[in-house]
Amino acid sequence: MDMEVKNTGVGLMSRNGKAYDILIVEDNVEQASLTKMLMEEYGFTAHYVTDSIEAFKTIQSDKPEVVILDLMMPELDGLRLCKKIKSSPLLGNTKIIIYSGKMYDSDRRKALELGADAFFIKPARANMLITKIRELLHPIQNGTYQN
Amino acid sequence: MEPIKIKFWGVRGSIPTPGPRTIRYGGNTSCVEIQFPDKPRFIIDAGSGIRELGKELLQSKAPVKAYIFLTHFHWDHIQGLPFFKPAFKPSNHFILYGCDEPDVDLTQIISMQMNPIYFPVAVEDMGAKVEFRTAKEGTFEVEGVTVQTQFMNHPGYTFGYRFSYRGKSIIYISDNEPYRRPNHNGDAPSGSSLEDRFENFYDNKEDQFINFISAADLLIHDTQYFPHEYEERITWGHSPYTYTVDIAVKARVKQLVLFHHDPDHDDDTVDKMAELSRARLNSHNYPIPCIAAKEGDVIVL
Repeated sequence: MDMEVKNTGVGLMSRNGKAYDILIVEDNVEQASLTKMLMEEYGFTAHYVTDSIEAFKTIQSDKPEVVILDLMMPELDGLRLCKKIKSSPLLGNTKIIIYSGKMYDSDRRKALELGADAFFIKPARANMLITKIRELLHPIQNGTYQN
Repeated sequence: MEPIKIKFWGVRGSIPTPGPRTIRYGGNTSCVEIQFPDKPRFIIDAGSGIRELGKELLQSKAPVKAYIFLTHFHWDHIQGLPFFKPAFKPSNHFILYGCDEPDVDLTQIISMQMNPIYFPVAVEDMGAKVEFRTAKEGTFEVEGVTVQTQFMNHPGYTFGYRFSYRGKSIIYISDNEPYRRPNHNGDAPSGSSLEDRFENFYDNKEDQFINFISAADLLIHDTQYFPHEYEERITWGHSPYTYTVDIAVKARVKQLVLFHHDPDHDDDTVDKMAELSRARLNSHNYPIPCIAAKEGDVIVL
């Protein structure tokens, strides 16, 4: 049975006609799986990895448009992974959403400096997270699309 | 078999608080020593309490080797390091464990506080052999002691430590706040749609935490606040004593030490918190030994 896709609307497809790809980097499997299902429900293609070292390899190979990134992870913390992605010439355009249960002003400031595109504290409102992802992928709607 | 000894050199949170109001519990900031039989000393945190420990170590004629485990780098956990005299003696050897921060590694973090602007002697000029070892969240062995680390809920990156040796375990968590707070998302779950489940999902950090401290022989844990104080300081990264007692019960620990006393709590206030904590343990039908950490106290396991 086809999955019901909610509010996919115009603009959820990337320019090559496929659904946008979202990678969830989250060490809690249950949280990761729930986020993946939510993304799929809203028409995205979604995957998750629970290991932040593996995450960078997956980002290099799959080049997802959006990465939803937890901060506190055992191997490589989210901020460092954010820095690696954003400072890479090939991956720098990846949109990064920090999604963490723990977020202090210092984390937020650091993440901003490192180029993160948005922040949400767990648990976020599903519709706010989806709206933000759409905004990031289609900034033309608010007049800032440049490319 | 020789016992393990735990000695409190500094028990205060945030800032040293000398003076008549704190004379019984002590005003030095966090520093605890664990003496495992026939092993180099394990020192946890380097608040101002480490200075007195240093004076004791100086009396040793033999070269001193010790491990220093840092939970994090807020002042009250590192400010004693520049005044730790044994580190200035060339025959001594200190190995520091702590986590890196996202843009700064452990060596740099410690070196920065001894930048000439703040202190006249650089780390590399201290004299003793000082090694830095970056720790990650996980498990490692030091001198046959199993050391486990877990990130706590405190601003920045802050470790809790679990030390296990010959069937005994000691947990040191100086700075930690409850994960589940009422301010997270005030709305009650309204249904079981995917969105509802997503919005009401709490990850298992709290469960992981309880597992981390589970069945410990000794739990040393943050009790900086009374509940009414905590209400005004949510996200500051510290616990009300009620939470600390409750997790001790939940994790079935065998002994509880209240730690990281608030700088504004005088001796009588700390006494009161200890009494209330014991009463709460009794009300849970779990009357384990429970004291408020006092400078100079030694616990034998």
